[in-house]
Amino acid sequence: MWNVVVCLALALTASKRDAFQNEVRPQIPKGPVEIKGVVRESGTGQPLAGATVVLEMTRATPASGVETGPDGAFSLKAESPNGTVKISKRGFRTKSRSNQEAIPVLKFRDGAQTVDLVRLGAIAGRIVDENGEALVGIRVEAIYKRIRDGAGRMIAYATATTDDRGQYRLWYLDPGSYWVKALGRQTVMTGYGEFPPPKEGEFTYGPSYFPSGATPAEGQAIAVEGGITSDANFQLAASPGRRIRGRILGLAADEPVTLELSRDGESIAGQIKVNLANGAFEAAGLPPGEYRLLATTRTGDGRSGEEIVQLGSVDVSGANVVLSSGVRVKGQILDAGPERRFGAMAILRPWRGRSGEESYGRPSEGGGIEWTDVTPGKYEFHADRLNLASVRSGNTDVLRDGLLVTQSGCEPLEIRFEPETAKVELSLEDGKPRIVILLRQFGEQVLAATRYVNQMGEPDWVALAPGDYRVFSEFTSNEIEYRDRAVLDTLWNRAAAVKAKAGETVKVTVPLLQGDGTGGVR
Amino acid sequence: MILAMLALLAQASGYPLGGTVVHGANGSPLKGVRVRLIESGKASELTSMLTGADGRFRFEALPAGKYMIAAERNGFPAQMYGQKALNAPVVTGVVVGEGQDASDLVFPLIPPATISGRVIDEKGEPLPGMTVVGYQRRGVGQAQRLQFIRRGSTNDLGEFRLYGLPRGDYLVSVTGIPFQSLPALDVSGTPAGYGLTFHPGVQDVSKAAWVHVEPAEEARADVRASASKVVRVSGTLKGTEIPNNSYVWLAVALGDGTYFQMGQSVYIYGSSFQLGGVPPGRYALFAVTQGRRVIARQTVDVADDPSNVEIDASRMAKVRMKVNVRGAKPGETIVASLLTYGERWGPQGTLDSKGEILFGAVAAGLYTVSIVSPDSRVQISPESITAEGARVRGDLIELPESGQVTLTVNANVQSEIVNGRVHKDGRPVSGMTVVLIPARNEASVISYRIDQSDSDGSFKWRNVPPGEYLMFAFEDGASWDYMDEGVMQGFRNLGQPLTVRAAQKGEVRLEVTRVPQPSRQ
Repeated sequence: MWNVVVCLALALTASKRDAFQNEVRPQIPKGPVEIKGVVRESGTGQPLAGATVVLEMTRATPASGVETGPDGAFSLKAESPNGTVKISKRGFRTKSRSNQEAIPVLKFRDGAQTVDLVRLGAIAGRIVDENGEALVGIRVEAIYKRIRDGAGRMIAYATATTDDRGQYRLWYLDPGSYWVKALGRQTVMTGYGEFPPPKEGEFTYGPSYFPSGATPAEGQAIAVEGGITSDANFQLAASPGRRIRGRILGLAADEPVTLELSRDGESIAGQIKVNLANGAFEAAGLPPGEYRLLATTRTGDGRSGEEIVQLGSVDVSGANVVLSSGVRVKGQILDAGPERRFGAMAILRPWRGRSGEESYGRPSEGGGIEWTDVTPGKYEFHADRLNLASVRSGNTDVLRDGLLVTQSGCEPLEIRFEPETAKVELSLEDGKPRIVILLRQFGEQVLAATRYVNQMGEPDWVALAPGDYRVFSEFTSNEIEYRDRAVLDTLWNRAAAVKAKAGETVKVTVPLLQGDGTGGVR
Repeated sequence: MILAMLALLAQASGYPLGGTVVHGANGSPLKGVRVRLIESGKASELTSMLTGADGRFRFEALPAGKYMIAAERNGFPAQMYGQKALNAPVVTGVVVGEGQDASDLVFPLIPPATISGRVIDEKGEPLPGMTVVGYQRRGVGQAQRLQFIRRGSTNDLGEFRLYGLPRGDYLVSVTGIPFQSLPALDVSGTPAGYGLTFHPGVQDVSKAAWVHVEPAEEARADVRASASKVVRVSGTLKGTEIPNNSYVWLAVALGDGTYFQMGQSVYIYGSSFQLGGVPPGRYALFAVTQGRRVIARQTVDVADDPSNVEIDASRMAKVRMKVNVRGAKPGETIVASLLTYGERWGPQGTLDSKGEILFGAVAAGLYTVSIVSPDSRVQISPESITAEGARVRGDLIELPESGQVTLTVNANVQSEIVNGRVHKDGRPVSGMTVVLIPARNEASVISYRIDQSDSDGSFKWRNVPPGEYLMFAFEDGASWDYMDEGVMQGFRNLGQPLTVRAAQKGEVRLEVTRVPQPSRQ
């Protein structure tokens, strides 16, 4: 992978420069350091009073700290320059998405520092039934889309349950776009009895995205701003719920195990009960759909098992999840030539956003690749190369249809590259170093490759197999969900089109695209 | 003639049972209530129906007999006809048949109560992500203790809401590390922790303020908590076998043998464990197996600095239990258990030929005694429990951390069912709390029996050993008010005497006891 190589190169340069500078730089003077600065609210620039500024020296010296005054200012003294200053305040986070900003004491030698903290927000609302009556015990999640390599994954950020008034509050949310999803009703025990379900029989509420819709695309993303409570009230209709029953096989007595249930790549928490004594499990109140059960032992021996269940209009029983150590998948690069070893990782990534572990394999001298410990399931093949011609496993076209790994493994992968390529030279309008994404449609799959452009020592060209490509760069990387079909359709018009012909050189100016905050293109 | 024919018709087609479900606080009819009819003594429902806008329900053509009515509606905890409180243990059965009119009952659904509030720190700023617990005083007489009723947590505004509560008096506690998954630091460089603090802002449970709520009411219980630095507690456990996946937790003793668990439990690795984020204070440390068996329990004082504790399980109390079962057949197998209070598990064994059993190492805490004859499948109720080296409160035994304990349990295998009927002004009366207590003064509350009269005035006391008793029928008040030696002392001279004989037959006639409504205060 080029990125890895580039990073290594940069690291080497950096350490050389450091070594040089250390020679000329005077020794760091010992002695006290005046620590001064101002804590502000990010965005508004308002000073923040009552933020805690803690000085941590060594393990032996107890930490000491102060709170910022009304003007957000702080001042304390470090006896030596070895240590860090941590700044935190309830209801805020630092820009690095951690709770405490750690600043080396040394930095305060340069003078007072300004630290911006991000104020967190909230989403609150009320959920009622068809009759407008409050629904108690509805589980609600705030979900955001995390995009990595063009694939979006919905991540539950915070959860809440509606109270007796049907009200919920999802709080301490980072500013950004969220979907609010109602996902079922929990039994509300009172210690002496329970609140009966609002409707009799096996009914379920949701999954439903605010304001209504079975998928995020049918719902509406809510913008969360720091210090503001966004409203999301909605009405939920009861729908018939079904059960999945089964057993985890291969479990030792009382062996701790995690059983995850997901539907369409989304985790469904809190609806599955496992009896550790015999591995029997049951999930109730499920709407129809394709479900994936993933069992993982918590004993650290890496055993896991997966089962896909199609839930229709009747309950499913006997959904057995067999625990096993991961299986081995083998592959071979069949072409001779420089691509025989492409030097980078080939990744088996869970099929189309399905949750699960990725497996990494690196080609050997002879072009053989091995992926060990692969949990049975369906996978996509990824290699950061766009001159791939085909990947086959037996009769399966892996690039088009994916790879199904079963308990007994799968046929070895046969990986071929195009012998003849086109040379595509990339340039960016603003000349800044950026990641450029090149896309090629391959049946159901979108093959993508990324290149750094305008980086030191990086050849700003790429060898592509003959075909049609789209090329673009993101304003900040991991912003656009280009593997999504709907996003891709828009993107296909906005990105630069490249037609690669074998043996030719094409020059392309890469457009800079900006995401809309939810994975789409602005 | 016509009357006789009508009676015949009624017998052929059965009898009706019906009435109106109303809101317990304002009396208005409730629609959309699922009313379930259950035959007395049966587990499953006979039939059910949904009330209309007038709140009415009616079941036709029922065979003569006794029925229970259950009601379910969104917004109300499930409850039964005749229940005097959401957590009342006894209900009123409805009798249909000749001369019984059960066609126009009024079934008030008791709305739940709420306690809400705000948790703030010393500066008045909200504390998010704190654990909030509401407790009631439960149990009777000497055996009173705090019981958790409901748990909640605070949001970013420091607000909490404990809902679905039965009426009564509550204590409210808060504890935790504000938003533990992303805590802010205090000036000492650690996340601030809050030890168990009760409304309105005290650590000592005896100084906590009680909050009273009636059905449908919402009461406030704000808490102002003071931060303390939190420390890490590491320790080792010896003197016992430690099964895989055993874990430890810390708890605050609430002074009556019950405990409040602080924070999360952690697994024991080998024989050592580490608990983080502990506010300094005195705790009971519990080591428990995956199957919830207590393998060690010891008092631990956590100071301001990281603590290291050593737990020696072999020091736990040794309990010798002597059981005298009157009326047991010679050689009959008797199994005795010490049940951890509020649970169904605890050390268990078969009595030897002298009627004794020794439990090697039993954790401190509250226990009850269970005696069973597996051969005759009889659960034998203890009549009295005395102890050396431990405290006995009613049917509860409070075991110490260490030492020798001798428990003497007297039980009687023989027991009768006493059937009776409550009368007022010469007519049977429904919904009365009926109490039976032994005539001897010193009798423990464990031999008290309670029921509630059904619509025809009938009631039943089960499991009554032959002997001399006093009986009472009270018009009002929750049944557990009367399961109290202190309360019943004041009524002794009003009791109606009753001699229960072996093979008790017939029906006892009980007049409503004419007293002002008793109270525990």
